[in-house]
Amino acid sequence: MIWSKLISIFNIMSRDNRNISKRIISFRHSDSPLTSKRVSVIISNRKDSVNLAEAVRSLRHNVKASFKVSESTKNKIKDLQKA
Amino acid sequence: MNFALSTLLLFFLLIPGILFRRFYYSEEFSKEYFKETFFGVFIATFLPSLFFHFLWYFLVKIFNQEVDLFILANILSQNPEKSSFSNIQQNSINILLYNASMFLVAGVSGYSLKKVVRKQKWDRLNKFFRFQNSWHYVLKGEFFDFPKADITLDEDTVEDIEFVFIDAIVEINNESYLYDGILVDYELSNDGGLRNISLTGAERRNLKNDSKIVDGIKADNSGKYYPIKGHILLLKYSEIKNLNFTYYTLTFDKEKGEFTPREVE
Repeated sequence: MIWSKLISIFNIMSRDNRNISKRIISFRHSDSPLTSKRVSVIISNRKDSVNLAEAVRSLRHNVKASFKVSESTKNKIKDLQKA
Repeated sequence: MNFALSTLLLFFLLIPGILFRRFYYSEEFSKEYFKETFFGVFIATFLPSLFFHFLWYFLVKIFNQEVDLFILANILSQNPEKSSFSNIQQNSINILLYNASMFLVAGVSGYSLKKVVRKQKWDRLNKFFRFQNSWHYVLKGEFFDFPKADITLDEDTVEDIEFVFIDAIVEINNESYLYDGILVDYELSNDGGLRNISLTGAERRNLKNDSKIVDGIKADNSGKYYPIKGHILLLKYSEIKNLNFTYYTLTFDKEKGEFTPREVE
């Protein structure tokens, strides 16, 4: 019981930080990043980054804005999911 | 009493506490290490030092060793005995191991405690554990978890926040401009304040070109925005008048293969 408690506290082997749509804090990565992993991939691509910002601006004008990411970004996100 | 030696010894005795504190305030909270008052630093250093010395004093007995406090007091006296120095010389390896292990454990403990405090969110839930880097909690949206926060998240969690969209008002040549974009980085100054923020996908418009609101509906003023080419726009905090933070998450439509941003709620 003590051991499981220790594991839960330290969470060294946690798989939670593999979640690409959440900014999970783990024992090893106690400094949460500013963006989730998939957003990090999206904003790494200049065009996708602009599309994301544009979608936010559209949303602010009460227009539901969706955007598609480029093929390379799509593949990188898929790779993240597989990892 | 030999003051030079006692000062040196006092510093040496405080090293475990210094290491503990240095590693506790590391990484994103490293600026806080330099921020506290002298008294605060002394207490935050003295108490962990006392703890580690107390612990090691008893732990060495497991290895059939003993810390002779008489020798310690004797070398600080005005007329130290030669035998005291001989004893230190003879046990120099043990003394070295004793202190090195204590310093190592003190540093690792400080670092680990910070990690546990962050992992268990004790700093968000209890003010006692809260780090003084208030910008960290604002920029990452962690303030939503503060028990006294007036605004909380009902449907989402802080972990659901995928990115932060920022609007910043900057005055240039007596005219106010609104810059907006996705927050990608920030830097703190030595006093713990914000030095600059970095945005990507940034645009700007003159503040005069605000949206007109007719019958409660905001008119589209997207044509008034000027896109800023470049990867990152760095804004100096000293030149910013106001900052507006909006926290977003993304939803993914598998059928259409589209992402849609949504404010966290």
